[in-house]
Amino acid sequence: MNSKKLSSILVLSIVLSIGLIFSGAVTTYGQEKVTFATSFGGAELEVFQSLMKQFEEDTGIKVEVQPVSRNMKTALGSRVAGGNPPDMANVPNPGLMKNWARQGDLVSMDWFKDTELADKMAGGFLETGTYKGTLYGMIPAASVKSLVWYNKKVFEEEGYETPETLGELIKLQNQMVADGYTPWVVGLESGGATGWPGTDWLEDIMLRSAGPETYDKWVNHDISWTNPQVAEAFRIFSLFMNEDMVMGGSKAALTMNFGDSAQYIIPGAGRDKPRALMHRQATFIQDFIKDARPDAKVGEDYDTFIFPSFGKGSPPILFAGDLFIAFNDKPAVRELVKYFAEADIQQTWVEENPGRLATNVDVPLSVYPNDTLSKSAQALKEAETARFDASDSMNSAVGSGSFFSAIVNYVSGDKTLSEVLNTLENSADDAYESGEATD
Amino acid sequence: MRERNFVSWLFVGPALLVVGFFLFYPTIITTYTSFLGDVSMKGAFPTGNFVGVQNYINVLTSTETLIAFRNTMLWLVVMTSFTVVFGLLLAVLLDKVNYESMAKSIIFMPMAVSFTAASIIWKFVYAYRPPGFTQIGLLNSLMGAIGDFAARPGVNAALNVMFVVFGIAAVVFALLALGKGLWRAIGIWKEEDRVTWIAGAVITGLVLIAIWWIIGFISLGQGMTPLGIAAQVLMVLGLISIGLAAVRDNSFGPPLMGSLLLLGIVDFMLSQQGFEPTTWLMQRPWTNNMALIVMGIWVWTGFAMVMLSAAYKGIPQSMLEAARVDGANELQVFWNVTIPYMKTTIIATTTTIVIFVLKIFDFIWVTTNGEYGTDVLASLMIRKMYSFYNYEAASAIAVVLFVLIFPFVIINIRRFQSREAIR
Repeated sequence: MNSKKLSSILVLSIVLSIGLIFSGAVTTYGQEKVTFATSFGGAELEVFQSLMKQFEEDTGIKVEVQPVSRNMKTALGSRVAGGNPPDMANVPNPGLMKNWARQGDLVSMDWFKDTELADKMAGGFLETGTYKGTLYGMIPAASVKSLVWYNKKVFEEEGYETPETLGELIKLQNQMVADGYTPWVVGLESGGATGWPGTDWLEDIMLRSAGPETYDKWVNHDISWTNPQVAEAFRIFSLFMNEDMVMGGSKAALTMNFGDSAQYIIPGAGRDKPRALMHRQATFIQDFIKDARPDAKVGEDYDTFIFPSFGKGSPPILFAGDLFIAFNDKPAVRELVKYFAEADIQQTWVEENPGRLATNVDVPLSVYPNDTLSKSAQALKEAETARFDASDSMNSAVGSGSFFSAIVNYVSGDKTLSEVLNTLENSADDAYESGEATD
Repeated sequence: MRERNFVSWLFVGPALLVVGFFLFYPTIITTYTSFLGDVSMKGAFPTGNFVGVQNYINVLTSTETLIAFRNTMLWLVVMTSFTVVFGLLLAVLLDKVNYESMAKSIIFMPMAVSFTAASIIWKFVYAYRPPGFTQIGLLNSLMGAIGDFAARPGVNAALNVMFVVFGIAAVVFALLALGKGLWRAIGIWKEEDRVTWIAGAVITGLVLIAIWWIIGFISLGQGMTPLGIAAQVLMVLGLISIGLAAVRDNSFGPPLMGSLLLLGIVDFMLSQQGFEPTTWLMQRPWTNNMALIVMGIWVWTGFAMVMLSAAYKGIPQSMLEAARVDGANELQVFWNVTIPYMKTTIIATTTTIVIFVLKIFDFIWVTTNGEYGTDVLASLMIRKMYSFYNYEAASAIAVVLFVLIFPFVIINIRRFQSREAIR
């Protein structure tokens, strides 16, 4: 063989192997097909897929649902960074959406504002999906977080009133201790996201003690973590989260999975008194209670009240939801976004997937399977103040990183409050690119 | 010759390209990133301003990384030594029994489970519920059950009697063994190979103390009862004697070992009375890290055992027979024939395990998420990267890890090459 031939073979082999490497990454999409990466799993995923099937039948557009893990930040982040995102995805946190929007990975959904459907969205949802004046995310379903689940039977027997103010709540929990009950059960464990249920506590408190304006500044890092108002919120949190008020104290709170913890407000087999009386968690926890205590009935054995307001007036509402975001702008994507903003599809969704609340105001309260959920939906519709979950809205390095750790360190007592807040402030300084408090 | 060169390049080319793309490129990019500040990962190359070694200074001075360094060292020393020693003991001992293959399959099985699944299994072993609840954690419920059993009046009295009986037996046998061992030691001092003798005694003693220490670790935090302290003193005394006695094939060795074992079990049961459930994964810094390392040992012992067993089977039987015929006892055969023969495999196994230990993060990620001071370098790197988006810190840690692992990779490759050369 002469060397010319050989070198051409060499070049060919190199070209071929490069081709092999990249052929996996390059796929062509037809105009009428949408790839959708979703964080849903289990029963949620089944319902979601059936809705997508319905969409396919109604519109003739093919949807390829790609289930990825609940941790979208890691699962989808590498695909986005690698330039191989799906057409659409749902993310549970606006913080992540903002990250991608800032990097220019997302396409604008401003066209949605011009449709009639935009006027049907309940207050606050479009703002949540907006980053620097541009709409990037549409929220088709939400859940209310400011709920306290309580044992209704014991409340009736002991004559406890559901509290309307912070003072009444403190009085109530002291009364419970005096009567020999444990007021709260808290479960902070959640694998790699351990601590997040505590951030919800803190957000609800912050929204009330510091007010919505300060809350927004806090989310955007316009005030620092070492601000006295943040410290105050942590201190109020410890009025509830301490050895006397929480079942099993901090040890149990830190080691118990959030999903396992709620069941303890209902007495288990062979017990006539529950281990604890109250549990603060979002609407979705009802599924967990049902699984663990199938005999207990919502509305009879247990019920909810809204985490009380700290001042006068109706309590502010903390909510969360899934944002539909798009990485490619094409007609099929627009169809899908519009479809999920419609009242009837949302109605099907909340009926089949209890715990979700519709964001289209045309969905009547009567579709919710029980009073608890319709009460939450009403609270969400009528709240004077409603804010999206702060930890989900913050820069995700803080909101789903150091904030979780901070809760664990604070509750376990491994660090003092000032150490916890300083660590948080340092990580926020590193992560945020804007915000008045960013150094 | 030139043409041959070309043909070999042709064969190596594609592989080199793939390795280059997936190995060298990321290594270079990571090293580059570790010298930048305010990194943005947008685009093909990371961008940011050059900050020199600032990231390394931050990494090497912050508390969390120092804790991670300490834990990595702890993992390295404890897990590597225990897996290799256990693997070696199992390889040699199982060779002598007829249910060898079954026992080996069972011990190797954890290796077939993914690390994440293994972590979840162990998460349930260490699970905690407050006192008064049904303990869903295996360890807490087991220890609670033993404690309740030991606290029953009848059982308790019986255990106390047994403790005294075994204690006296252990003291008697220990003194006899010590006396005889020392007597013989003085008698044969000149004719024996001193170094082997002393080293054997010391190492045997240390290994047994380490095993006792593990048992002690399990009962840690239960408070020191006078009985417990007495038992531990006995234990240490006994272990030193065992070291001396067993080396000389002392007739008091086996009964002493037996009575010590029974004493240990009784002592353990007695110390579990009034057991309070423990948060194994939250007790910093020793209990939780040790509890995590035990998971690693559980998974990796099977690997060490299989590797070393293969080497053990490769030793010519005639050599062992010859040593025995020459009057060497089993321990001497083990120390002077088996170990030198297996040296290369032991080193290869150790370096492989060291490399894996330095890279371990799954156990920590799944069980504690690095909280309560359990982070190791690799888990901290992952957290910095994916939880905190701190690319520069993650890159600096990655480079430090790489530098730590590199020598062991070199050792492994060198060894491999020298073996190839012999063939």
